[in-house]
Amino acid sequence: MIALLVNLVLALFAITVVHVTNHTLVHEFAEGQPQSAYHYIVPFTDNHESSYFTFRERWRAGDLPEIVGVVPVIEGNLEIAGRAIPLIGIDLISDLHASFDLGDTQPQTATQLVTQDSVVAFGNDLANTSFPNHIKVLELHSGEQSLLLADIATAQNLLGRMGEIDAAWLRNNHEPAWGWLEHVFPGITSGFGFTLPELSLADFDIKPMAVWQPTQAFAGSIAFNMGLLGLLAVLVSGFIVYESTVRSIERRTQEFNRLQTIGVSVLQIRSVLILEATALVLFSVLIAAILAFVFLQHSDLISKVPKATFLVATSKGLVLGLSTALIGVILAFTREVRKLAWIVLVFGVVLAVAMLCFGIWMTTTLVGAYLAVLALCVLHIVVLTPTIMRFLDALVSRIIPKSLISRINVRAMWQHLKQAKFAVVAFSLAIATAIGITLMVGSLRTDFFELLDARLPPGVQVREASSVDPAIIRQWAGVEEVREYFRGEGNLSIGKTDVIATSLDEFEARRYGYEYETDRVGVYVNEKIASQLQVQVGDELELKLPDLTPINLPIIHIFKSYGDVSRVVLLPKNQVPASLLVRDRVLLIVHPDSFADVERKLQETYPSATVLNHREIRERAVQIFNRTFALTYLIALIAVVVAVIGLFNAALAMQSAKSSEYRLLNTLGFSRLALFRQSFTQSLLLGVVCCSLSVPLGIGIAWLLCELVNPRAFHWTINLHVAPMTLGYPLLLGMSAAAVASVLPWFFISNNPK
Amino acid sequence: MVIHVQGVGKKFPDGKGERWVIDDVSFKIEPHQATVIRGPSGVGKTTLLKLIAGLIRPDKGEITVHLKDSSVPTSLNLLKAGELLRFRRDHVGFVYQFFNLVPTLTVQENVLLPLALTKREHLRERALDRLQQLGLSALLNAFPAQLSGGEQQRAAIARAVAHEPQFLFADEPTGNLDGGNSAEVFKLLWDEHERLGTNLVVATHSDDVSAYVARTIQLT
Repeated sequence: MIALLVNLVLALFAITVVHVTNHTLVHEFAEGQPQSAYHYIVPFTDNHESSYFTFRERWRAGDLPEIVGVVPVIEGNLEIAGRAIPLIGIDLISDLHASFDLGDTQPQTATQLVTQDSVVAFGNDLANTSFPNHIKVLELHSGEQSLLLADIATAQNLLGRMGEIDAAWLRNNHEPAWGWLEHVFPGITSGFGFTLPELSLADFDIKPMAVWQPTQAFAGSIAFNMGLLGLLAVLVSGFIVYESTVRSIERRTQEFNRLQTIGVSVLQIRSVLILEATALVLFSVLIAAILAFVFLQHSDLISKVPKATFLVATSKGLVLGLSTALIGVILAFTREVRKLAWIVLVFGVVLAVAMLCFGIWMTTTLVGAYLAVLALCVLHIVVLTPTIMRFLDALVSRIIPKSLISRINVRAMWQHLKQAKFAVVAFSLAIATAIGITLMVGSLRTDFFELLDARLPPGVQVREASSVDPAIIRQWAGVEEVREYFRGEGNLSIGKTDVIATSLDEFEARRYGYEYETDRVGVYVNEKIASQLQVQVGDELELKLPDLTPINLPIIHIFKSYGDVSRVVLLPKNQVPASLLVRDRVLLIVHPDSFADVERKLQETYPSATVLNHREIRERAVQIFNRTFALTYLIALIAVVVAVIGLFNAALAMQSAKSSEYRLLNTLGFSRLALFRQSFTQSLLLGVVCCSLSVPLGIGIAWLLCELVNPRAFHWTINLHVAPMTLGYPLLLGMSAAAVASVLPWFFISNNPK
Repeated sequence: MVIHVQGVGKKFPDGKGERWVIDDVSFKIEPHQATVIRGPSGVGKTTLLKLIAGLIRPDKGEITVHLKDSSVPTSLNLLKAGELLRFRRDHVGFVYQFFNLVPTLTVQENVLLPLALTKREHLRERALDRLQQLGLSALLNAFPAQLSGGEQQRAAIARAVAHEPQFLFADEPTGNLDGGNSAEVFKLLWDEHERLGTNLVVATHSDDVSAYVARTIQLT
């Protein structure tokens, strides 16, 4: 009973911790920015206040009924302690229902921001920064990204851009239908490919906020992975609770037989067991909730435990604990179900194979991809694992080690492996999913860093560069090359696309990973277009410019654009009338010694432009990615730990059942050390077999995530890189758990083996 | 005299305190003697057997044994853990009431295990012959779970004497068997004692064994 209680508490503890951590991290990703409450953005290309007023007038007249709030925004950089810190100015009183994540004292802080010409600073890096006297910092909030937030008038003043507005953020009242699912499995809906409806208003270009904040696409991807891991933690915990319940009931068979001989019916026994299980689950939930709360409060995983989320997590654990324990009670007495197992098996295999084929070849939908992942797991449970077990069974009975001690070890391991099959399945499934997800994220990291290296050559980028004159910049000392990028828009058969016009020469080919051919004229499209239009290199792209001029050019390259949620076409500048383009960016290749000078000169000459150093952009991207990476590992670790607890329990049960054997061996002359070697070897062998079972499934899941799930959810492809280190870490963890599991029983039994 | 037990006592935790399970027991066993320890349940027969087999140590008193290859008596009290282990491995054969065989080894492997541990591989043929004599030749490759209770005890006796120990101890060896099997097991133990010249000590409350043994130690 105590073992069952411990198992329940551990499983429920894991569910609560994973849910709360996941929810908090996903919340931080999605809402850790001042614009989090807004869904769309309208950039004003002329930066004039009048554009904003025109837009607002039309909105108030009812042109955009979906929109319920509008906030004007200005952005730029302020030089603080030698660093360019982004400043966002917003009109805090234009949309009173919005929240800008200003902490617990939001109304008071917002009022002070409006009345005191001050800023709120976000970012851990700014904690020890000395601000110039003219910048009054009202509050400092923690956060990974450095950012200053001010009232729009203060920001205009600090940036020296009086009367200018860059954009407006728009808030709609759209409550997604899948919101409830997000509460149960935080992050899981990010990969469902749900998108906001496109909004249009003549003369204005309304875009989803994610376009303005590209890292959100990555955040979505990571949130999705965390959601999957949360789902896995629940699944594995369910296995553990079920296994413990069934084992506990099996241990009491003699007691139940006696009860039946004195006339107690199976129904009565079952009722008592259900009552016992319910009481035990309720008690376990209480202990697990207390332990999880204390753990979360004192760990560095999250800064604060959100009460509502904690309650949802506890309820989730309660529902799972009750349902799995009850299923365990019912199935432990239902022999008929076991007799039907082969029918279920055949049906399951046929269904899983059909689902796998359908998901991979017969559909391009995300649901199909999920079905394929599910089918692979089912096939692992009902086909691969039993087949490997049967193969090993045949192998173990044929391979007879010379040493009798080795024979004992191999056979004992095998016997217990068969007994603990549920724990083995749960463990291998959890390890496999952890392997799959870490392999996928590791592969994404490799590809993304390669992309950053190619796309960001040493240089400086100027955004909102309409006023920039490249001819002047070319004259500056240290500037080796100046490249211009013009932005426009076009229409494809599937909807709007961003158009970037530039010189598609050898330099650009290198940036986009294309092997340049001098005489080949065509366009580059990003993977989102290729995926949605189902086109390949060589196909002709039919693009219509806003003036309805058709452009039909062959696709000569499909490029990766991780984090970019828009469709993007890159085409030679001479193919588009200049009147339809705005100079959006200028890229400067600068001699390393002149970086600082050129940056300063750019800031002085073009105060309304945003100057970004490629090195800093890369560092920031790497920082964001590494942070999300650390989180993925952390959540994967928690999920694996849940599985490890299952294996530990199995190994513990295996060793605890050996007290009579240890007594006999001790009588025959086995020392404590020899008994420990026995116990350790058997548990380690159990761990090796379990871990080995998880490797093929892990690689399979990684392949499906790279080839199906990610392309269908986020429209980007990932080349699968199977890194031995990524494989090694969950395997090492699993085998360590099995090894540790051998120590405790050995300690108790070998101290008193008689 | 081959075993000398002098004023031996052993206590075990009992609820809040400790209880002497046996207290101040003394007796001698002469070479090649077959002895039975008798007494009602809970009187400490098993404890006494484990004490003289070197499986546990006494809390008071002394146990000495005279080994064949030694000219002086050996005090089990003074042996270090490793030495006591070697004493058990080399000189003791033990038959329990239950769970006498390693479940993951076949009958033949179980019998050969003490030979492997004591490096007495030269006794292999003799041990296998004994299995045949015990009527277990058809079950050499069977696992313990496939044997009946009587077959398991016969295999256990074969294993206990395989390395030809100087002492053969049996703790309620027939407690789990019916009358026919019980008598057969006692006869086997006696035969092995006679054939190998071992000292046989049996803890039991069965009367069947009395026909075979010369000496009875009654615990009360």
